[in-house]
Amino acid sequence: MSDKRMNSDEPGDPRVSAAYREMADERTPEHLDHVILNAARGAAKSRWRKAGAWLRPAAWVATIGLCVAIVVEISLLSDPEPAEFDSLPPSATKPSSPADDGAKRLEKTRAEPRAVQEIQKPDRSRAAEAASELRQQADSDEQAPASFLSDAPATMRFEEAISERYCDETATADPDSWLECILELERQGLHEAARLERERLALAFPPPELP
Amino acid sequence: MEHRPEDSALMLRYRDGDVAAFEILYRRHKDALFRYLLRLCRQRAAAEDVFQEVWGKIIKSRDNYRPTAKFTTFLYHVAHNCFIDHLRRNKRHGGAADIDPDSQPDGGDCPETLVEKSLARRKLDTALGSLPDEQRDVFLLYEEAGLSLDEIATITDCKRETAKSRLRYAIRKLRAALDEPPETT
Repeated sequence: MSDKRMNSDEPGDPRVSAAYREMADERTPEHLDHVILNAARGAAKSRWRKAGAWLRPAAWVATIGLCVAIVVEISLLSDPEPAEFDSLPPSATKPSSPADDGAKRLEKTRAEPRAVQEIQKPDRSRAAEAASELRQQADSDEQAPASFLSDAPATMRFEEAISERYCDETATADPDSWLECILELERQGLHEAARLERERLALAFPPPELP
Repeated sequence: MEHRPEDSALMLRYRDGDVAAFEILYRRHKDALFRYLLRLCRQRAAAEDVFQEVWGKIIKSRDNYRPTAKFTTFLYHVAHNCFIDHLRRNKRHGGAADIDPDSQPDGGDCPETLVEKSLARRKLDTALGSLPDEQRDVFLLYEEAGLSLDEIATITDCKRETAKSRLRYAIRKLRAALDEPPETT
């Protein structure tokens, strides 16, 4: 018992206390223990349910927000320049082995510059020279060490690709001849090439001079 | 040395959702409270009902629980009020007691000692049962709950001197019952 027993003011009797202790040895029935402990658990759970009522919608909102953010991020990563990227030569869109690069360049020299050569009929001989140079370069690329191109970042090859010229130096010397060259490209149906040259023209000469 | 968390701390932990804290608290107080109610109600079924009601109220009141007083005082205050409600509900509270004082005899004692103990139990139980409700209540709060006179006065809503007087009368009657010579047949 507590210190109240030490207090002489309180009328306790040790003999009565001992006799009571001797007698009072009943214990709580087990079925009551189960009932009460289950009630306590149930109450704690329902409280948690009540307290966490706002958690479920918040979790849904957070999950949806996260999904949207991931989708946007992935779409931005996979498609950095959507308009221009599709129209670029295949060599610029994906990294490839040096041998593949060489073959593709050779193929390109056979296909695309053919149209350019058509446009620049007066410079046919120079175009032929350029084509042979490209072939030689492609051949030398095939023999180049494997690490040479594979080490180059994809962005570099992409820039190389867009820096390809469709109008030669004489055509781009003045805006009129450059524009003629662009119009010729458009007539030939090479709209992407024309667009690239138009952009270069806009950069080289101020926009007010554009038609 | 084993750390024994305070009752109030356990109740606060239960308020925050810790069911294990409630289990500790319950196991610490359940038997004393059950005996208190059993001797107050004098009927096992009624005591069990009130016991459930008391713990139900403790569980319900956990959100509003403030450790301003001892948890034991709070618990027995609730129990006392539940008993009063039980009395009001069952105004014909004069049914025969169904507590068997010999329900758990000590197995290791010799037959003479067992007989003596059984006799003392019966005498005390009879004397306790014959006490007025107020005196019995005060005696049980003093013996079973281990509360001080001030705490008993708070629970039973009376003055300290009144509680002291009730306790003194109760103890005097019980002592007299114990001193009574055994009946000779």
